[in-house]
Amino acid sequence: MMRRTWSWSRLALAGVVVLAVLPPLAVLLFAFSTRWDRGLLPEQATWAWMAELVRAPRVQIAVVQTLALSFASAVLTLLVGATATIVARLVSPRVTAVLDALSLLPYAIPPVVIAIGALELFVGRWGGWLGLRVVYVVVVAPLLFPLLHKTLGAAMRQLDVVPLMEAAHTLGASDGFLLRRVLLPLLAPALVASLLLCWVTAAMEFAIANLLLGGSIEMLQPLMNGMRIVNGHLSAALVVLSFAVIAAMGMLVEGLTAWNTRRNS
Amino acid sequence: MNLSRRAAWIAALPMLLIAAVAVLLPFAWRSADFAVDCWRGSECALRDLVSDGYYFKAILNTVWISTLSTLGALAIGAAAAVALAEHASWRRASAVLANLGANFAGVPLALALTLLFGVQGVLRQALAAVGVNLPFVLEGSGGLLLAYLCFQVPLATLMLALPVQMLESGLMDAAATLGAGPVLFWRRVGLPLLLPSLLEVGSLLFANAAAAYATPFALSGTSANVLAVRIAALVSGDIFSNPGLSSLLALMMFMLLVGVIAGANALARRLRGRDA
Repeated sequence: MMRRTWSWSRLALAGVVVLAVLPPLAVLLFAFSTRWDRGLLPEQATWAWMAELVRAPRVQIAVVQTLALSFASAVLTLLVGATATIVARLVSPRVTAVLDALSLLPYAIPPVVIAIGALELFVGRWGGWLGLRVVYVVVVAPLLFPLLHKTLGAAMRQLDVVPLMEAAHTLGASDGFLLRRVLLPLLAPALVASLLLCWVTAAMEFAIANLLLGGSIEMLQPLMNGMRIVNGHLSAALVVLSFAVIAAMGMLVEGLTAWNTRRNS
Repeated sequence: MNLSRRAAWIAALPMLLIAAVAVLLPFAWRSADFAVDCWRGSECALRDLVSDGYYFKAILNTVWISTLSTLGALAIGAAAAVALAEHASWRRASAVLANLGANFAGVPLALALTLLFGVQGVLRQALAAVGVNLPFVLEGSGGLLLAYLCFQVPLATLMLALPVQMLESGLMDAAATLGAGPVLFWRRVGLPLLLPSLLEVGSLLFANAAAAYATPFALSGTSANVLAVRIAALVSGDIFSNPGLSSLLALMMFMLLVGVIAGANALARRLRGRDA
């Protein structure tokens, strides 16, 4: 009896690993092989696709534009969203509840609906006096807010801010002083981690990039999709490159979070 | 400076404004446009919806593929979370892999699945060579379900790891001391206690699947008959442009998602309240 349930759960875990690893592995192998259509295994390793990719001006432009626009959106979310989350968590459970609900909004109104709405209203009707880039940066921000709200919320719970604030008040310190000198320095790693998380998520977003910007500003994900039809190897190389950058950022986020936990405990 | 409750509202105002202007305003605008059209009786999209079974099929497809992928992901994810709760040393590596899987959706996933299971896919060919024919085409519903499972299952594992771990520590040992085997433990103690978490995670997985646009679009283009793709194709398509119908489908999707998320959360809260 004991053994059976035990092995069921291990089997499920193996299934998770296969579902999670097989697709990225296939793309990785395809990106570094000359061809892979004549048998179970790819043929001859090559760097050619990666070299061609990084030299292509179209790719360079898309990468720079994507990084710039997604960074702008992540910074906007950080400035506006972090102010909201931090102050609300400090003094108002009711505002925190409103922000919790706000972070469920992208689940109820998905990116594709946001993109179409923005396309009709901000580009179709008011496009004359609204820059497309500005529209994109603002429209993506609510999509990123849940990530920031969750990351910062967890960090603040861990810090146990309410007793911290009471202690500061007892010692005669103002909330402004506490924020500036204690909370913000303590939360700095969580803020940086949220920024990176938002940046990566925005850079890998497809629906808004494709529907809102498609045709005028080429972003990374739509480019990947377009390249897939012309040359799958190049598209695979672009996927590998993007995920290598994401992995590096992920490690940075994890390192920062771990360091923060150690420092605060 | 001391922070008051009012300060919290002021601090939250810019974020609330951005969400209201960027998300709610266009959504409300489009929904109002649709409602006005129908009220005037001129070009009501409801008529198009009723007269064409194609869009009903899209709604049905979305519901069943979201439901199936959610149930599958919950079952596999919860079982995998049990394995992780029992083996602390596997947790880190598994979390990294599951994170990769949960984020490897959309265009990259479509590329990978085409390589593996497309008409010329290496796994499809290799299996055919030994006489096994895969019972689905990648562009059809079976392929779509496989694709959704690829990111839903790792996501479920990530989200269920903590609730299962909190449940496992101690309780199972206590049950074992009292003579309950794992099956009895899960049926009488584990699953009932885990049910609220399963409901909450399930509602988010459902929303995640129903909202997925990149994956079906990259797999089968605008011919993928799911709501998210239809909503976009009805506006961005040159031939079958029908913004009113797109607004109606978006509104229906909104009601579906709000219903699922709010319903599951209310039920979870009630179950927790009963246990407490």
